[in-house]
Amino acid sequence: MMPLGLLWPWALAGLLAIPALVLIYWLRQRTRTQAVPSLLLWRRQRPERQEGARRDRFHAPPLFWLELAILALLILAAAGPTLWAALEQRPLVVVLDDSFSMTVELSARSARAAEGRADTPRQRAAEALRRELDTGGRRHGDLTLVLAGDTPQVLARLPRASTATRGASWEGLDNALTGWRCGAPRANLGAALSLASELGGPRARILVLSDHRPPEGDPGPGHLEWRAFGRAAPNLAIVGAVRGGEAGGDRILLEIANYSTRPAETTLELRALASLDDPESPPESSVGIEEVPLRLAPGEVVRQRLGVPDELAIQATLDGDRLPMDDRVILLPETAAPVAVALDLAEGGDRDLIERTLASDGRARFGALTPELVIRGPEDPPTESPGTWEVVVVAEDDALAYLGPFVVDRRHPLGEGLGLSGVVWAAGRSGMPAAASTQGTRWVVRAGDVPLLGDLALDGGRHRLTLRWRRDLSTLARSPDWPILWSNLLQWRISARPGPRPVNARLGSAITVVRPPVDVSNTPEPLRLRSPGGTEQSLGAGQEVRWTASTVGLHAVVDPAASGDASVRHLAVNALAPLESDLGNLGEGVLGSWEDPEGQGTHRRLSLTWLCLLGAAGLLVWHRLLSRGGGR
Amino acid sequence: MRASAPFALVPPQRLESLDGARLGRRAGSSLEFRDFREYLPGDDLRHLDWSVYARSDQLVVRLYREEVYPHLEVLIDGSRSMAALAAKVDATLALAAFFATAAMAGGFGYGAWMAGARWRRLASAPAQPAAWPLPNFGHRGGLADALGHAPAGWHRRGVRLLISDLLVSEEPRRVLATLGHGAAAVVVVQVVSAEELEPTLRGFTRLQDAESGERLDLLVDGEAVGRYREALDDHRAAWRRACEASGATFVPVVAEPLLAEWQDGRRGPGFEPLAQLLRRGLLDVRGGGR
Repeated sequence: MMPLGLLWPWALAGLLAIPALVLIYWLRQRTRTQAVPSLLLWRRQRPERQEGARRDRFHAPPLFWLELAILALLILAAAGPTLWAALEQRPLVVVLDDSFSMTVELSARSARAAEGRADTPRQRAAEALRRELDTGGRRHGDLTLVLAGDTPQVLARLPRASTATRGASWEGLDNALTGWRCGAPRANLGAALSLASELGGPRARILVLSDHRPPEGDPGPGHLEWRAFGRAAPNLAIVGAVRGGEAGGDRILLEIANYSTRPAETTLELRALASLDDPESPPESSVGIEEVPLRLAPGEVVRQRLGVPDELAIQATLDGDRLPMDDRVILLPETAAPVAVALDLAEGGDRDLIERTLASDGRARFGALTPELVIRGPEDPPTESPGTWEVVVVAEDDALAYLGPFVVDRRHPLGEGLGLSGVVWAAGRSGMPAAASTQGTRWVVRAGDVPLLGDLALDGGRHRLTLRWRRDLSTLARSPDWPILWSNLLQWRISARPGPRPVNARLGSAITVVRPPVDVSNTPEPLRLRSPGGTEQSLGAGQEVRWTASTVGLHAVVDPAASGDASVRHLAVNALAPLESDLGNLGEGVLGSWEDPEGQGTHRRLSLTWLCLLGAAGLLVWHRLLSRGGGR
Repeated sequence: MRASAPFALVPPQRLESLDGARLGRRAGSSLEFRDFREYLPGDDLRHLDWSVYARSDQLVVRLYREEVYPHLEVLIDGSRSMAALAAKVDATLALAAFFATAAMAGGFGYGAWMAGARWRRLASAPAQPAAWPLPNFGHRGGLADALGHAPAGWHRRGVRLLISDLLVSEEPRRVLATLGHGAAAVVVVQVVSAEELEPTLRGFTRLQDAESGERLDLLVDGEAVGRYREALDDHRAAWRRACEASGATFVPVVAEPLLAEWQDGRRGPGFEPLAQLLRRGLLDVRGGGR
């Protein structure tokens, strides 16, 4: 297959001359009467019609067809016909900028806006992709779509399908493009290009569709095309939002930035959402709290600290602009109740020290009936209560004081921030005491091959920690690592409570949902995430589910296995991406070309202009000969 | 008529007349002695030369030159097709005048006739062509029909010369048989115009027959003209073959070049078809130059 292309398709407008040619011949074909001496010699002719019959069709003499062919060849020559010789289809990998700046409205006065259609870089890029696949689809093979978000990912791999009637097509393209939502906090185009190159291989063509200007430099021929559809524009955005609890009520901190070269004015409006089920409900269902007029200098970032009611979700909005995604944040109450701790250690000694340490952190409370954390000695019976973690403090008699070096598992929640520099940690000579189970224990801190702090994961998401420590021979309790260790423990226990963490997340950040302890004999139903648009997706059925926040707004995590209020838990995802909200660096442009240099590519473009002109000249000579011979 | 001045009609060898005003080429019964020859049984005994027999005992007859009264009938096709193009009318009349003049120059008598519903005599010797009345080309019938009722005024043993475009559908042999009945020689001159020979018509045309008024719609293109010329060639060939078969002389003439040459007083390609009459001895040049 050697498809034909045109360099200047607009020259085909010359085809309008063909009706003129037909008109000329039609006018010439009007019958005129001519007296002849006799019809005797004309009777061998095929009569054009019987007298009185109507002529109902156009009769074209040979010269007409010749002139038509000459005209068509000249017009075709003017259109620059090209032939893709030795064409070999190459895979096409399209890198789609998935950042939310692709959703900015480019012009409120554009023709698209007048038609009620969105005029965004995303729309323009999608149309450019369809045009490329429609007009240049013959040269493309299999199609791979790569989303360039915070982390690049493959959106779809579509095999090429060719039909005689429709040419090249990629089944499922439209459906795949619906997954290009442009909700990422940034576009990691470099990583996406690396992934695209890896997926496509050395022969692939890569097409980048973004709103970021192409980088400087020459990507080399025939490999990469970067098409940018962005436009630098001013933008007011909320780039930081934090909610914290204080005595007397919650407070929120908001950062509002003016990404513009001109001063800007806006109004920051705070409202308390009456219903979390429908945050898009009319304003009547929410309660206005405060309106703060703001005036921002060019490039200025202002911070607003505002008190808000406890237990209510707060929505902060700015006046609308072309990028509404960063004009609104929702902040849910950060509910972090203290950890219920039971100290089953003997009075005095270690117990007092541990109690004081936990109390000083402020996130522990003692005396609860159903403790979340039990600290006991090795002789005490293990706790089997669901949701209760244990810390077994083992003070062995044959202890040695270890000066280090200590090996700390920093990936473990307990190991975060532990330095143990200069610390003397006394513990048993080797191995674990017989009372402590070592099967499946993950060692967080070791002195050489001597385990000091271990973590054993139990059923139902529970953990049993073993702390080998002789206070009298150690300096650990007098080092900064001691409160860090217990603080890590409290933080870990809090984060392991059922529900999503964090409840106020940045777009693109990781969110973890911990489910309540369940009966291991039953396979739990998967969690479902209900997104702001009302769509639901399954998150999986594990005890702990993680995913990346990809949609701005209020989300609900539905746990079919839980009951009551625990069955639905909410979390808010806000854009909060300063680099993405700054639209000043966006622009248009094209970098690179897929036109292969002569002799290097897998296909070459052959110009047929001279062939058309030669054909027209040959037909012209024929025309002259026929004219002389009375061909008309 | 200047072109016809040096030409004279010559009696055909088949022409026999005992008391003509002109000496024929054949031996005849005139008083002018021509030759001797040996007696053959059946010879007229009155022509025996008895003096020779007395001297040599040989029977010898005396031969005398034949004496004839030659006559030319100029028969003009009076059909409407002859008048469809002005050049054909001019050439027809010019040819008729040419042959009438040549006839008189050769000692012939002549009669000029116009074919129509009935034959009409236009003129006869010694009237000069310039004094002929203007003919009327309005006949709608065929040639054979006209020849079927030939007038009694036609001379037997005379030369009959038909000037026509021959655009008739009758069988040429039938026409020639009628035409040659009782004639010593027949000459058929076909006059066509250059437009008839090479039509310049193009495009969608409604052709109207000048005689019948019948119409025919045609796309006249190169192919159609080619078929027309093919038909014309076949038609001429049929007349030529028929003439050869009946001993007639077929002379195809194109009107325009002939008229142009006669107007200029020269002989060129337009006259060439008539030159065959010189070659066949039917026409002679005064003074002996050919």
